[in-house]
Amino acid sequence: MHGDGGSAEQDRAARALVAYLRQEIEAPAAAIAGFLEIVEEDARRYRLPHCLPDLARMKRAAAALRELVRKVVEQRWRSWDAETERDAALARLRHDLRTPLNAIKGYAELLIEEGQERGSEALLHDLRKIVESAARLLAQVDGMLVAIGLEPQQPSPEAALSPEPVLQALRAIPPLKRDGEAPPQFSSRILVVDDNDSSRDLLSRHLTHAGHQVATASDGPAALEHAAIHAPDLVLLDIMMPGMSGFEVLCRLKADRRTAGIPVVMISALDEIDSVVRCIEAGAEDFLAKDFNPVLLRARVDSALEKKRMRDREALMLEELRAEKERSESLLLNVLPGNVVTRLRSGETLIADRFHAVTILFCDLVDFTPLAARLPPQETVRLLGGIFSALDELGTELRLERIKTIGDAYMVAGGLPGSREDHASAVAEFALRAAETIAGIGRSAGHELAARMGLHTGPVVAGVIGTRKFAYDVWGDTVNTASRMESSGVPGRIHVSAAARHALGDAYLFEPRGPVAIKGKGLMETYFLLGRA
Amino acid sequence: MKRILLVEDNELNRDMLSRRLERRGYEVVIAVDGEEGLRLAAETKPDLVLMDMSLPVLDGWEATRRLKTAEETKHLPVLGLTAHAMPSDREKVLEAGCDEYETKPIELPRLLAKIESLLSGVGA
Repeated sequence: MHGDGGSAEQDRAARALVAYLRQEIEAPAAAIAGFLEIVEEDARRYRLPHCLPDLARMKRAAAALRELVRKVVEQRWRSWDAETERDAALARLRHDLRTPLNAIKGYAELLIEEGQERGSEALLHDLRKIVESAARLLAQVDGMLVAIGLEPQQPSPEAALSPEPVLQALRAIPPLKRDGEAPPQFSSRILVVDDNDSSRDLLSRHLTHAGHQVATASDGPAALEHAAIHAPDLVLLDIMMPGMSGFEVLCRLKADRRTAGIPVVMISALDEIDSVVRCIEAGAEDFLAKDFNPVLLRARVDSALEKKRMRDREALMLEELRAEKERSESLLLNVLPGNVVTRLRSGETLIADRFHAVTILFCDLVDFTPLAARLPPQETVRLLGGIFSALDELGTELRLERIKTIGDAYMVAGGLPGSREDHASAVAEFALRAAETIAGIGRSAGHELAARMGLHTGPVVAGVIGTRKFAYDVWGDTVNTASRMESSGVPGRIHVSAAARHALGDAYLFEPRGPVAIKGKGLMETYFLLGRA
Repeated sequence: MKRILLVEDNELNRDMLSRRLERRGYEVVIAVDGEEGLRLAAETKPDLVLMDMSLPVLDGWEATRRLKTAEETKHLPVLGLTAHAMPSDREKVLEAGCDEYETKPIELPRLLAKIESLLSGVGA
């Protein structure tokens, strides 16, 4: 077109024309080729070899047609300088298409004539389809040329075709994808269920050509079995089938938990609308007429698949959400005892309980600080971390509550958050095994490690302190005393108070230490825990 | 049995149309280009000529003109077969001397009706 009024406009017009041609011309030409293959298979299957030579001829004509169409579609529509050039090309197209179409239509009709004497209904049906497709293609070509305003008789040059009406007509065509046959972004698995071989084959071919993986079933039971095992992304289901009807198959698919989520598109003849309605009420997504338009098939299939993909994505997201919640939950449980979490959740804002009998243990690593100064930082953390982890495991095993760590000191309590009779002995066990553990870890790391431990029994207040950085903590005189037991203790030994000894009773052996001055309490009788009795 | 001379260069169309005409009881003689068509028209004395308008060697337009001027063939009814489908094309075909025309793809019943009417019109 002359003038550089809008080269982008020309581009758009050219692209729109190509896309239109692809859709309106290339698609029917492809359909003809598709049906031909099916007819050929039918001819073999129903043992009608006399058809084969003519079908071969038709295929040649169909190939010529497609080649012609391809050339036209790939034509560089922008390359012409004059409208007349383009118009002449379109007229040529119209002329040239008629020759192969003549052969295709003619042979199909010939075979139908001959076939009516001795052919099979399925084959005749498909041959008629070819005739229809050829007629449709022809109509498209004619219609297209009318649409873009190509008139054969122009009374005067002024009334000759100007670019404007053409552009206007082309503008009316919405911008399609550049490649009308672009494969879907996702290749999906589709199950086609139809008792009619030709229909099944044709659908299967179209879907395979569109890039999907297609499985087929020729009756209800086979379809149900396949769907349950392979869980396709979509089922195309014929309504009219002998034996188990499409409706029944649909109901069973929806009743089985394994297959209920698979979208189902029913295939029906146009006079079966009532059946279609019943099917949709029973859970079918959509329906497709038996004599379908390939573009419509793709649209329906893509739509149903997209819906399923969205549903699947949603389910996945919900699952991830659930997993995330679980993770937060377990994180929280690391910080607070389970029943405290429950109470906080149920609305308690202040958790503070008095426990009458609790045993507290403080465990402090001896000379860890100078050791830490000598070691590289990672080594320090690894060592300490290793010790604390081991103590945590011990505490979990003995059902004790680790209250906190302060530097290289470790504090554990027995008898809370749920009271227990054997709180003292549980903590004593912990102390004895912790001593061994710490020594062992120290040895394998090449250091002499020992801990001072202090143990005391008495009442405490326990609760949740803090609003943002939670902690479960204990307070009271018992806690202070336990701490003093530790600080006035001896490395490698477990220093216990009289109250703790009393709580432990005869099950354990003790060595009296003698009265010790405890800050804030004066003199106290204390002991060293030696071991189990 | 009436004899039809079919002048058609496309092998598929030739085969298809001749078989369909034969099934309908016509005898079909085949020429593959305009020159052969002229020759066979004189030699085999058909009752009707089906002339594809786009032919090699000598095209259908010229072949028809010559048929209609030559003494021994000018009485022959000629039905033009063309892939040009516009009304203006019809005028061109008739101007070349064809008595009737059909556009491709052929509608056989319509073609047969035209053939029959041309055949029965002979002599009138």
